[in-house]
Amino acid sequence: MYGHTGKIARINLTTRSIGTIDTGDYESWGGGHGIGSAIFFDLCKDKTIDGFDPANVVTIMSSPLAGTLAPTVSRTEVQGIGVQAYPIAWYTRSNFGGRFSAMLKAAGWDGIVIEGAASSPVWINIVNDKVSIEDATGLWGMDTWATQQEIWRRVGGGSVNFDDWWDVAGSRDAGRTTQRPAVLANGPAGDNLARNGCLVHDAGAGAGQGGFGGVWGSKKLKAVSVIGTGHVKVADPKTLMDVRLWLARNHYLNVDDPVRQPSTGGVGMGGLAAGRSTPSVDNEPNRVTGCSSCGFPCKRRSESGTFNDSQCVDQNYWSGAGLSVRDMRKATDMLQKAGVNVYDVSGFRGWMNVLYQRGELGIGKAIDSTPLDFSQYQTLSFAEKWLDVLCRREGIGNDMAEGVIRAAKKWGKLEEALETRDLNYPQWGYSAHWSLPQVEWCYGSLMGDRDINEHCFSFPHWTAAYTVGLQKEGLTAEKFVKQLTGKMVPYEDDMFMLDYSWRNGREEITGIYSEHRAKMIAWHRHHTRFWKQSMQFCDWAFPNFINAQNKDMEGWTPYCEENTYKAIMGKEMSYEEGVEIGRKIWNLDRSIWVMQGRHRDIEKFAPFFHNQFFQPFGAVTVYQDDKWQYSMEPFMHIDAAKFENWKTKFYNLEGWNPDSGWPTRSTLEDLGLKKVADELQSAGKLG
Amino acid sequence: MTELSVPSRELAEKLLTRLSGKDVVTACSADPYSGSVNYYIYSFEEMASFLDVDMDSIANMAGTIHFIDPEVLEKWIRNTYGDEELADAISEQTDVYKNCQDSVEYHIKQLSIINPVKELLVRRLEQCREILGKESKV
Ligand code: SF4
Repeated sequence: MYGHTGKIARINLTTRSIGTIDTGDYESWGGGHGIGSAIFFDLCKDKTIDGFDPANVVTIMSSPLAGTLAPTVSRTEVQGIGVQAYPIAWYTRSNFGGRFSAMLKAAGWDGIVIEGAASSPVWINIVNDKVSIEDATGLWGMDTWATQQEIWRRVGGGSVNFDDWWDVAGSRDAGRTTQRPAVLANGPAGDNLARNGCLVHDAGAGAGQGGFGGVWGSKKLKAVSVIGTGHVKVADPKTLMDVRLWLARNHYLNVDDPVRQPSTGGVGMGGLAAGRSTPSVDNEPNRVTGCSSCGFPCKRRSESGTFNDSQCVDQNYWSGAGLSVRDMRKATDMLQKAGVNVYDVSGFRGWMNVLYQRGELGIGKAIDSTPLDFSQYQTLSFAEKWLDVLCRREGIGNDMAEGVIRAAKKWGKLEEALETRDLNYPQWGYSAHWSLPQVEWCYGSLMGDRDINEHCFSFPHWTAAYTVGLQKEGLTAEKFVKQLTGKMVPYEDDMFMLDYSWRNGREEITGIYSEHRAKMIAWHRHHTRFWKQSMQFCDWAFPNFINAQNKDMEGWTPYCEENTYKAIMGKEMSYEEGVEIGRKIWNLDRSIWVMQGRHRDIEKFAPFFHNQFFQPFGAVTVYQDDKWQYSMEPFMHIDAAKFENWKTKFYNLEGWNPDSGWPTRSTLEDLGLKKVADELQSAGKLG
Repeated sequence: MTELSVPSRELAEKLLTRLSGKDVVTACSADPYSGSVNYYIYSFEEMASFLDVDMDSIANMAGTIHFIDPEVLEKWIRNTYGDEELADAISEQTDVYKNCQDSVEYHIKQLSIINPVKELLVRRLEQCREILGKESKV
């Protein structure tokens, strides 16, 4: 078997039993998310349970391409029933970078499946083939960094300093490495069942969305550590090296001169902004760093150690609140240590301050903020205290640990806040992102389970519009649209998929409520389920639709994906075949959501999304007056009735019953999912 | 930069007063990664500190920009604080894009005046602090 190691660790925390699953049994799902969802479907018998239920099954999956020289794929996909989404906490996913995935493969595992719940705190120790469940009593409540350090110490037997070769299992023959264990750790928030608790690896890689920190807390699982000294079998190392060298020559960051001029920069690729998404403060010496084998390192480490491995979004925890950039970054480090999801809490603390300013929240007020004194809001110590009360569920912290949406509900404020956009959370209790005018973002999130967090289209739009150099170099809107849609197999060459017309009379013909848009959303959902979440090509760098460094601005997609896959796996996988497997995975996920209660009637945006509001950033392409053009659409919002009609088009395209949004038997059976259709039928939920 | 005449003590005091209710104004931040986030701004000082649009960082997809529609800002300063001179100076800056027909060009030029506008706000803040004898924090 190439790429895959061939086995997945199956760990039951209730019975403390450890077994294996043969990866070959699930190979048709590709890897990563696909295999994780298929295993979840088989092992989680009742999909309607709460995320905190011990019967919840959590999968932690690598990619078949990880642990090799393949660029950006050494990422890890975490899945299971979450605790964050609202009103139903959907089966969901989160993804993180760093070293974990590559290390898991080096230890000989394609993934880890966690079942049951321990009766007292535990951590899982994987040293090559050996998997053990260890006592974590002394680690419970510890922050994510201290936990990792303590586990490094324990795995190294207290004597290893990790600056040199060491014997991982006590003898040279059992394997040697220069690496320290890769640890995925829960923080004090997750230990205390916070719905905004997240899992953190190294300094700043994290599985944030979904509330997996809280889920692990309910399983009394503090950390998973892995150290491996093996390797991944690659079918054709020379071709893999050729792909890698081609990318390196043409596109990798020059670490000696990590500056990129806008007119030559990659388009649709944040990664090439290497380390620049988080510029240094006060010229503090720092260097770029990235996930294993990336090639487009987008993070940085600083001399002081502040903000190591964190990224732009992490800085939002306490931004715009009067702190210096340096203090904002210190606040981010506090957040990483607490293991708290920045996307849930950055809007949350800002909204609490709004309520405070209005006199509705504060010590002794209608919403009693004790022990938080919001007059101190603009201080670093307050940012720290805010996290502390959340982690300990002290006073108002008990509500904060339930996440912003549930807290708002408890405080009687949810409806008002979602009407006024005081809470900018358009769907399922997840915060807005590039939701508008990039409608694939909000549509995809609503048809799915979470904020999709996929920049496939927003990066190229951003760059094409804002990088004036590109427009000078001839990237007209028409060429842009043609080049992107040309790669969107099997719907290639339907240029109207990228018509963002929303109020010019074309919106239902070719624009955002049209069948063309339904195809675009379907392509995006299917594509990312396979190439991004199963193969795990990083969202920062893939797909690369267009690229200013190449002749004719040709991006490296699908050349890079197809050739990397073939070189490692020893077999062909066309871009289109991958998208089709993604369709199967998407339908499986959809079926799980249906069992959990998904229905057309609840696939609705928050009310504010239908009102006009000002969203100044993000150019899109529109077809108007018989020509393509870039356009700013700062007032775009969604017409509720037209969106309902669009849903019918989308469900029909996907082969789902348009009355319910549930997959039909023929759709599922065509995808080889008969047993899924049978289970939906038993639940009375077949479309 | 447009020279601003020294404001009256009364105006300086007003400009340093924290706002509430209807006078609060909305600004926003954005970067290519995390999208756009709204912020309520409660004071003139906060506004002067908040705004920051580095055009290079936009082109390089690096860093976060902090923005407000300059016309909203102009009205806020005129109507909330009654600072006609500062509002006029901001209005003058907006001349560079007012007649742009292309919406992207309009937007980019709009972004390009944010830092010059910020300088005006910072200058006004310094003047206020000088008059009232406080230290500038911006
Ligand atoms: S682009 Fe950044 S986040 Fe993505 S794999 Fe590379 S280093 Fe990791």
